[in-house]
Amino acid sequence: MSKIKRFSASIISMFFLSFFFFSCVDREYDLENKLDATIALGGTNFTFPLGSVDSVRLNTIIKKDDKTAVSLKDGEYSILRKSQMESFNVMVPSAPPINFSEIKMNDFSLCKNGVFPSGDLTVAPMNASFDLLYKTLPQEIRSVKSFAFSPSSPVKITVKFTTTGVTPLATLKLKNAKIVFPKYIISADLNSKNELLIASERVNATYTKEINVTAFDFSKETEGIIPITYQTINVKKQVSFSGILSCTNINSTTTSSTAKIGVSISMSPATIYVLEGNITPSIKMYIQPLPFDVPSCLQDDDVIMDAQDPLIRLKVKNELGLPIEIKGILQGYRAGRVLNQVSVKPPSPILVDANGQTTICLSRTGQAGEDGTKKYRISDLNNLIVRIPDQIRFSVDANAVAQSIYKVELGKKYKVSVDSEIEVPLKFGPGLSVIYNDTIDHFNKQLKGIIANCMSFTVKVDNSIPLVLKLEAFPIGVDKEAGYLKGIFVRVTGDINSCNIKGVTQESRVTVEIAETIPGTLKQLDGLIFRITAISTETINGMPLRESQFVRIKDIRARVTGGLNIDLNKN
Amino acid sequence: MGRRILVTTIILLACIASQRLWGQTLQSSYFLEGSTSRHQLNPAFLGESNYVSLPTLGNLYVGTNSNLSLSNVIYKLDDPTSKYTLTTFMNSSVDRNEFLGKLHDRNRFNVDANITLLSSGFYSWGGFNTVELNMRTSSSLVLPYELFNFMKTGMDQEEYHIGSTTFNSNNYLELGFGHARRLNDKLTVGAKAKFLIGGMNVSAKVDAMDIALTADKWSISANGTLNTAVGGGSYKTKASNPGEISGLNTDKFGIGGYGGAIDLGATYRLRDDLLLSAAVTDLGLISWTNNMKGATHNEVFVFDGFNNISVNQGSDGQNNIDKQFTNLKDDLLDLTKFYDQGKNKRTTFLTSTVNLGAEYTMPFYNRLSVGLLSSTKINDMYTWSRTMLSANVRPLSWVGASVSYAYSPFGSSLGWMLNLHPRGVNFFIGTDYQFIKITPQFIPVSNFNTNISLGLSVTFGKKMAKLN
Repeated sequence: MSKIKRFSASIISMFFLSFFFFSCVDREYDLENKLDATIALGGTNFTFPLGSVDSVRLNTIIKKDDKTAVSLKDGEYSILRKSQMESFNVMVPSAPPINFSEIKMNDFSLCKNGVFPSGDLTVAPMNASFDLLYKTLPQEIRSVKSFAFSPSSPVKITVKFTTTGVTPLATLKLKNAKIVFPKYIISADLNSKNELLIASERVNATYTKEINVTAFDFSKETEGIIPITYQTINVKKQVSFSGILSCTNINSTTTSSTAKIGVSISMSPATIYVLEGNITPSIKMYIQPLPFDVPSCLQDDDVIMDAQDPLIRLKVKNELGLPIEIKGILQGYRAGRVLNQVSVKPPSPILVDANGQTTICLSRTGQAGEDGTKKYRISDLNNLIVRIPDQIRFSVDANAVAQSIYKVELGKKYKVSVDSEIEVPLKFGPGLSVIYNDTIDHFNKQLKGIIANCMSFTVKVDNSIPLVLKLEAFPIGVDKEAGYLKGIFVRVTGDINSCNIKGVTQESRVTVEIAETIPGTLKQLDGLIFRITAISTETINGMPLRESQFVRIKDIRARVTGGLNIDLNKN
Repeated sequence: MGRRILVTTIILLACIASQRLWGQTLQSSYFLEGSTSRHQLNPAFLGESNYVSLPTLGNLYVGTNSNLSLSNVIYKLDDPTSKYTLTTFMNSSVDRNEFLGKLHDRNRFNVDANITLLSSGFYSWGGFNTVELNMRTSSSLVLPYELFNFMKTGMDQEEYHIGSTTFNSNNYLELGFGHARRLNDKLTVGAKAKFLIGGMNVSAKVDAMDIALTADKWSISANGTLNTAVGGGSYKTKASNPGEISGLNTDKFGIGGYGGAIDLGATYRLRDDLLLSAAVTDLGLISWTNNMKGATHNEVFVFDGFNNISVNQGSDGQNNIDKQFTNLKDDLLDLTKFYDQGKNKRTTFLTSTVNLGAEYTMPFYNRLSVGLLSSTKINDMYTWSRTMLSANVRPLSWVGASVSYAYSPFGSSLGWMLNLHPRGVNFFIGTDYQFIKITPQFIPVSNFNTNISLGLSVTFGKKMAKLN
């Protein structure tokens, strides 16, 4: 083969093989590295029928648990919180014994004008003052009807006849004598006329007669009840003595010309055991604060509560024989500061019965409460919770009712216990404005790679809750601490209607539009904070919240205006 | 992940194989006498000398066809703010009308391959004899225009009626015995008998898919059939939905069927400088003995939203939004549910090819000729033709080359072939679809039509002075 032929063959071979070399790799068409894998789906008006959401029943929003005061009664919600029982003692202090001065009547001389008596000698009636002056009555005593003395330390009145100047050879007898005591002295030893009768007793030297006194009952006197001022009782009465003195063998031999008979009356110290009268003991009533742990949906600072008939119930057990009148101020506290307060001064006084248990119901209408309880109307009671407090305190001004007469054992501790509870049935008036924030987030991970600049969600909402729900929405990014996401506009159109007047579910249409005002911001969207304002209306005022009531979102349609772009690129 | 799927899809679409092939021999070799594989185009072609191909290298052919080009689905991205310079037709920056205007009613993606495991040609019994064993595989995917319209237009149009979407794959071994002999100075005839051993045949067809997209409801109905023929195979079905096909049991794969085919050809030298030729190849069929039938139940998929999405965070019930999305995704992926319809026998016909050629030798230089070849694929409604004009040169006795230009429904193409056949060796390499640029992923930029073939054989015996 000639060199020319070989050369020609080589040239031809290289020519054809050069086709491969000419067909070079075009790096501009690097599908792995230069291909934008962003795709548009659904055209310019992509609409996605998202469907429906599970019914959201109220029992998933308002949960009955130990952490909140939510209570259920026949399926209706109320807020119910009880305070701890608080007990305290009421006492009228004991008083020191009453001491009486000895009463001495005028002496009776046997020999008059040198003539010794013989036979029966009528003793002319003698009187003496029987004064009760006692200055250390307890301060709480306003008047006294009676004192009773303890049977364990009886009070005795001693009547003493003392004869001088008469020898035992003579005989002196007191016959048909009587000593008339003041009527307030109560003794079984006296007759109905409060007289001590002595039929026949020899009184040659000394004769003593004792009377057991059980009480002083001033109502038997004309004064009746004795008003007390300056802790002092001062009762001035008379005691009188009369009778016949039978004289035998009275002469100069046996009897001195100066012989005489003296009469004295003394009483042992008397300690008041039970006092009956007008008594006003000091009562320092304290009621434990009521924690007001409301569900989270009621905790927003801007919530305005208009509960139709909140109820505060006081259960007071009073061992005191006195009724107690209560008034005071109810205060709502939040974070230790007074938020609201309501004066508790109903038209008729709030009374706790003596010697028993009393349930007092304070309500806006005066109608709330169980049968058998005492119901009082505090018309502005809702003001206590118009701004939701976290604690309710009742500063009580309690006093014994002073108009009546009662018996009190001095020095005895009478126990009074009280607990309170607040019950707010979730039935609302027209002023209600409950603001509840709920967050739907973690979009960012789910929607990663989806590019859109305007989305809208149209939903139908069935609502059986007797509240109109107004929605606002605010965008948030992944960094929740950064606040609302700028560059995104969110608008909610349409309110969620309440149920109708018969409680039947009503349907509403709501649209949520999300649009970016700064391009590319929608990529940062991670969620929406929904601010839900629940308000009551005239047609649904007073309808209770029930655990079976629900909100159901249905026919959800997501629409992406301008098209839905999905970024399938790696980064 | 999504990006990888997208890129992979593009590459796969470029690589789907077709049964409606050009055959699996370069047409550019038709007029090159020295090529050892051209008897596959016309069994009347005589070999230059005896040969035995190297195992698997007798004719190694890979080709793709499509009536779409990469530029139909990949566009330049004119966005200075983006780090990317390309994007897909699904990008919003690509105009809908521009994209759809480039599509055809039926958009085809084909790929085929042939590996000649062993081939030999020798002169004996008064002619030239060939024996060959080929492994042939071909697949095709046909996507209708309306499907792309749906993808691009989305909900800007409420209803779509998507026509036939098909996928076919045919895979078999071919053992051929050919004989060509010159009957006189002008006429040469040849024939080849082929024994076919079926490997696997898949024919999936969704006849019609109706899609209605409204704001309230999406509804999709699709009707179709699925035939899978493979020896020892059976469908897997879902326990949750009895009869629904979920996969293929492949434990006992075997021979799927048998068949036969013939190639017939003739050449006629009309004048010393003009050779006419005609051939029909792959006239035959395969009978598949274990054809598994599947069909849809005409179910309508309706999606009107998720029902009762659970609002409880952390909920792991069936109403969890994530699970409902997963279910929706599964439903969409299972949109066309095929149900097992039992088994039967099925016969598939090969796509026959009719080649008509004419070669004129230049009077001023007898080592240069021009050839005209018309090839017609006969396959029912998919019959189509390709016409090739070729310039062939044989500057040396052991060097042959051709450059060709062809036109077909898939577009025009430039081809070439180089054949080196010094004594003892025969090597050829060429393509009917020369690409100018390819992506780094080896996808032709201008169109998806490409093929390449090469072969290496050992020749022996003396070269024949005169062939056809």
